[in-house]
Amino acid sequence: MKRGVLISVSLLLGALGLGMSLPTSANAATTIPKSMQGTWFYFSGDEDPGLTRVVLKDKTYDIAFGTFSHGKFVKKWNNKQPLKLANQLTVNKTFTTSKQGKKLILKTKMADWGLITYTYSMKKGHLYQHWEKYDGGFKNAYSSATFKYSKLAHPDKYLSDVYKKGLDPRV
Amino acid sequence: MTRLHKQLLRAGLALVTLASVGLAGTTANAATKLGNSVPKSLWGTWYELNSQSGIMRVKLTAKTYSISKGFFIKGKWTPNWNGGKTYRLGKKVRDQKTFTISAKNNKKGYRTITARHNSYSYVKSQYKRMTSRYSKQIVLDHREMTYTNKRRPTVGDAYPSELAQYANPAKHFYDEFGIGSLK
Repeated sequence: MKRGVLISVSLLLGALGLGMSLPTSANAATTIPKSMQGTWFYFSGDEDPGLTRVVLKDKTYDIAFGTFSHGKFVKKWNNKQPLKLANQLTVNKTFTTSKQGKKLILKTKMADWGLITYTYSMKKGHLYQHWEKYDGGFKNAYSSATFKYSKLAHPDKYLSDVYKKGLDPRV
Repeated sequence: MTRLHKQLLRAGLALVTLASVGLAGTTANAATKLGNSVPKSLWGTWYELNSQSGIMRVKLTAKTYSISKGFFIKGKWTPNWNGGKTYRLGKKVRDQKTFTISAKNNKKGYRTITARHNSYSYVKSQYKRMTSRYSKQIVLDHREMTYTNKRRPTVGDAYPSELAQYANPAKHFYDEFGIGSLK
């Protein structure tokens, strides 16, 4: 926790930013790169125990926070169906993509968060995620830190080992 | 402060925290006297945006503490974690029932609240009322460390965050960031 950075942005800057982001949307509907596809986990160690899980397939995206029950992932935040790739954002239903060099820019619009822009990149077999809450129509922006996601063979065992056996959570 | 600065600072804090936790873990219980009430300066309902799974809400009164995460959906607080749970001040920490508070502020002016949200970990949260580092508003400065039952921290990161009070929090988070929805 406490990894967020609050940035105040004037309405003018917000409008400029919106203008700048328009060209990238021309490349929309880029499918998820093969290297990023799969099921990824991030452990924050926050007082709300659990893992953030990102499931990327070529045309679907699923992000949620949850824990495990009998080996099965149970969503606590964002208990919804995976989003589908589309050219336009529909609340809780679709996401859009574009490329920025090797980075994947992914946008979602959920009933709780509103518009979020994620930047995903790969480095040494790990998926890195940065996200921004940034919408020209509102006064402020929120920028997260960069989170490192890993593929875990047994995520439920990993989580229980961190707490019960004192396993070092760093993957 | 740029994000790079923050990350560097955080890396530094993580090292310091990891180095000091070993000591604190063993001596804290014996050295810390417990308080009979939450100081008035910390009372209130405080909010902060610091997690992907939602807004954090902390409620403190003289004898109670509740912490949850969620969103304002159609103007109503809709928690996805720990909603509706209110812990009472006690002399022992009981899972989801009672919390303890240190009798005095530490050298940096923080009170420590210890609570358990489950049977396999406990949380030490430090709170201090102060003027924000970034704005002129009054905030509740907050540092949190989660420990396993073996007193091992789950992460080496205790970077401070700031919670604030809002007359209409649902409207605040919608108007400022476009988060959640109003009635």
